[in-house]
Amino acid sequence: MARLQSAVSVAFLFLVCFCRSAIGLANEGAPPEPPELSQKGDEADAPVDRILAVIEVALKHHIDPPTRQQMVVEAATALTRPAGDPESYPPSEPSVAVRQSLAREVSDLTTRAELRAFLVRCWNRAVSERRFPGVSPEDAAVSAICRCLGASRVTAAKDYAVNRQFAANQYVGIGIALSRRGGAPLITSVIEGGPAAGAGALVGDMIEEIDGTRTAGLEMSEVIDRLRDAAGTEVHLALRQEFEEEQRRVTMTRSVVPQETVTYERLRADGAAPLAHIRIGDVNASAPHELRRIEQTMPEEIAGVVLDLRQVGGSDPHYGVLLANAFLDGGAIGSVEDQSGRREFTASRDCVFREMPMVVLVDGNTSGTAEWVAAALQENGRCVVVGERTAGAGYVMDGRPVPGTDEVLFLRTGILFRSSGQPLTGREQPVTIEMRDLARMQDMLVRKRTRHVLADETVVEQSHRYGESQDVLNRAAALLRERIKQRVAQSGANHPQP
Amino acid sequence: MAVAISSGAQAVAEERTAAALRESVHHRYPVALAGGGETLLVANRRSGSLSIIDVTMSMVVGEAQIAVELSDFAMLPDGRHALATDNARHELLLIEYNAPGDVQVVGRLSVGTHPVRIAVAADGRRCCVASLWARRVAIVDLEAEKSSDPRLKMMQETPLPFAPREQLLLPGDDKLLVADAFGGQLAVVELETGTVESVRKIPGQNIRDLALSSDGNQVHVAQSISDPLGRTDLADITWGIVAASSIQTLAVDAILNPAADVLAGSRVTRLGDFGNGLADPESAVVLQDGRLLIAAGGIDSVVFAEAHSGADEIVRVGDRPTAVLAHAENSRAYVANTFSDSISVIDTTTREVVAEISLGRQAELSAADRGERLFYDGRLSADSWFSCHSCHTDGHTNGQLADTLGDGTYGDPKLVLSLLGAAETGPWAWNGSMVRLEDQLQKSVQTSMHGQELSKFQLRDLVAFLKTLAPPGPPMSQTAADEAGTERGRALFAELRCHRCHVPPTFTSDGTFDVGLADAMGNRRFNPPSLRGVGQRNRFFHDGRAATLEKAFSSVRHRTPRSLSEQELADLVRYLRSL
Repeated sequence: MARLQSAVSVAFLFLVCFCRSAIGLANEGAPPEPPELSQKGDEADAPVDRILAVIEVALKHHIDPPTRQQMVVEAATALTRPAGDPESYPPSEPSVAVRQSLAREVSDLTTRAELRAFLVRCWNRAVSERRFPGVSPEDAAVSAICRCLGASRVTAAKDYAVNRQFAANQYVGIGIALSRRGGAPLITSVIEGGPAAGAGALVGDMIEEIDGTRTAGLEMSEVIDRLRDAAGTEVHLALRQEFEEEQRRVTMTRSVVPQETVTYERLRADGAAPLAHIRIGDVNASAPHELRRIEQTMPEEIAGVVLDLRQVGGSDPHYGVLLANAFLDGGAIGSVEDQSGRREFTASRDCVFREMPMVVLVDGNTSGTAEWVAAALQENGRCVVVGERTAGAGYVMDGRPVPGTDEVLFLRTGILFRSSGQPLTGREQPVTIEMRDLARMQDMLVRKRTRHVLADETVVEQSHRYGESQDVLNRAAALLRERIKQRVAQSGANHPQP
Repeated sequence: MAVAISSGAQAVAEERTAAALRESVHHRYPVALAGGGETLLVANRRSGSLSIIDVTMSMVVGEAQIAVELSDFAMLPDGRHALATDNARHELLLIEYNAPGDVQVVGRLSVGTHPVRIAVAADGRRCCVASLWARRVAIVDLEAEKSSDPRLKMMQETPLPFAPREQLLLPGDDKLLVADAFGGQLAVVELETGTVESVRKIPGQNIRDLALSSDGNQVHVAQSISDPLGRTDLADITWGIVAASSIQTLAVDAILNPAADVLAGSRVTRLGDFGNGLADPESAVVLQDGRLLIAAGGIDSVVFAEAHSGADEIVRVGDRPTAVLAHAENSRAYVANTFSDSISVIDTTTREVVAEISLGRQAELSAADRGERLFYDGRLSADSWFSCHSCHTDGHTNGQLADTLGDGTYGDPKLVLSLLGAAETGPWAWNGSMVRLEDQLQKSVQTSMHGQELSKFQLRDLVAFLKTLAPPGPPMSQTAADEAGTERGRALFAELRCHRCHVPPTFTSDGTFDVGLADAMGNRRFNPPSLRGVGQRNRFFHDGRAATLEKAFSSVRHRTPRSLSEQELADLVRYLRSL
């Protein structure tokens, strides 16, 4: 049990490291210097081209894109934002009069050349007025475009590649999770069987050097960059335990480090058959395999399953299909609509926990493919869904390269539908999250989420707290036990014992 | 060398012949085992011979030529007689075994083409023979009660809707469970009348053994299983989605009741884990402690496993183990290593190989032999989850759809094509994009199996092997009435100008044609698959949308220049089935 919990937190920390670098956060250090400014017109070319490239990618690939003009207005508005504290939230917005005038101005522009010239003017003005201490004006414009696309973001292509590795559960690395202690990166967990564990790295080690470069003064994102490379490459580390003198030099070979993303614990209650509490950490490539392994290790007396999908999202429908298929004994899974059309998916009859009663636990942060899986199980009568309404963020999210950059625009490329044909998306303008840091993100998710879509069969509790609540789990377990009792009573009536 | 004692000039001569055979250099390919107490009998597929092993001495003491090509072998309860199937002459053989130098064929019975499995009732009164390409099961009376020596008498020949392979007599010995050799169908045949009581589909494919649990209440099916919604990318392969060896455990009650859901109370146990696939289950036996011992042919190993909890130990044996025999009294299990021409002896208590017995010296390998070894090698795929054979079962097709990059994209799964006769019918791939067979093989290994790049020598060997795979014959023998219909069908085939795309003698051509059927990605032009052996396939078109040849014209509407009457359709289909 303790081992399982630590495994969960390892995976979590890993993702934290990833998220932080993926969204290009300045870490705890000082904000970066503002870019070199110049009044020359051609200085605007590169940033404006990047903004326009993002707009074109959105137009080409977004499932429901705004018009080019709308996105230009968003970018222009961001460039016209009054100067202020960049860390404050929400950021100060231009006045209504300014927004109106920008919108009118853009509405009269028709050609790409005109729109480009307009953005160049906005950019030059923004730079000359030095509106952006700590943030580049083009980043502000790109963020504004992403906001109007709904939960979009631009990431470095290499971070997107790591994202894909996580989705495939084939992360290539040395198998550690990091945080920062003082000036040095600190190993907070070491994955069993991974390269770091094999080389003797320990929890509590500070990484003092990577391949001969001292880590003191390096940004965390830079540390992570240096630790990452292709499978089969070597990395040399100098490690030292906190409060110890001795420095150890170790060498390890990067490899695929599979993460444990599905965990299992037994829920006991006096006098009742034990239940299995199975947490899905990620709707990824390994989830069906991990589930099947868990089924193989579960003792025979387990009478029911609480499948916990709280706080889980997912963006790749392929992995949603595989996970739903793993649970369903045939039946319709649902459909995906994207540019190539609508595809329906049907489950095969091979399934885990055949004939075993099941409760699926969801909350307001159960989103994307995770809520799609919950809906598929619900539609097929495979489970009772318990908890809060899900996020209503049933979108396919995928990355598309931004031409002329080494960046990827991560955006909505498709919509997930229940097998009944209902889309799993909220009706309101989707939630937008300024991903400044995780704490704020969590806070915002709780305050601003669209609470729609997954029609609960039984709402146990309306919890507004972030994170898992033991109470909800207990109630779900109680409900499941009730169901098992009913089923036993029914089968007893159908097949009277001699 | 110690051999069995025999007297008389004839016995000495026979002994000399046996000794010569034993020491001759050739390929044997052991595929079936019987006995195991003091003497182990080994049936060799390629040499058609029976090797006799003295278990105590761990050595071959005799070898007898009894057939052209052996496919199965079973002892009768009297301990003196045995049955064997000759896959080349389509015969069931009755063998009398007296001593290592005295093995005689004492009876022969013609059965359906390509007999592959024998199941003998516990009382020795009858047996069932599954004939692969004839698609039938022969129920044979052994007339044990009439005299001390059994004789072979055909009682029933039951046609099946699939090509059968594995068989299991269910408790009571009056019903036979018979499995599809390629897809995942199971039929129950009532033996008194020869009627097929049920035909049902179970998840998975490539069923390679059926084993009864110790308590007789469950049947363990050793097979491959795939998530039909998977795709052949590296992640899906290495997480066991594309293909994994498995044990599917079914309840005997559900099997016996035709009205029941055959999967009621069932469970699938996948073998293999991340980084460690266990390609191709070929044979499974239930050990005394209830555990299973499974030959994993694709990784040259046997696997100790429990039906519900999976593999718990992997033991390396010889090349491509295909048959396992457990002998309870001496805690020994014997494994036939087909490609090494050897038998591994395993102590089932310590789980160690205690001996590897060579069946004799092997001839030098030809290019086709080396290609065959590659074809069955799980190490061609990432982490050894599957081999070519896992999907192209014994060169045919497992009848499943696979979402590969064969057509350039994921999202539009295609029916796995049969390779029988395919080496002569380029271009390859559904869209006919591959002009060189070597290129198609390289692409399959790299994008569908995510294995290492093959060398040009390996490609040459694989091509040589594929060229040995002949198209299967037609499923049934023809009666006079059938022949008339076939002739009318042949005329119709010419009149409708089918031969413009399906050009004899291979009944295909090198172009791509739009027959009015698009795939999920909108591709419309496909290379026509060869029609040779088309009667041996269970699904048709790129996505398997037609379940029968009739439906290819009726519900799916493959284009014909004019509409066909019912009689014409029947004649055309009869002709196609004769190809």
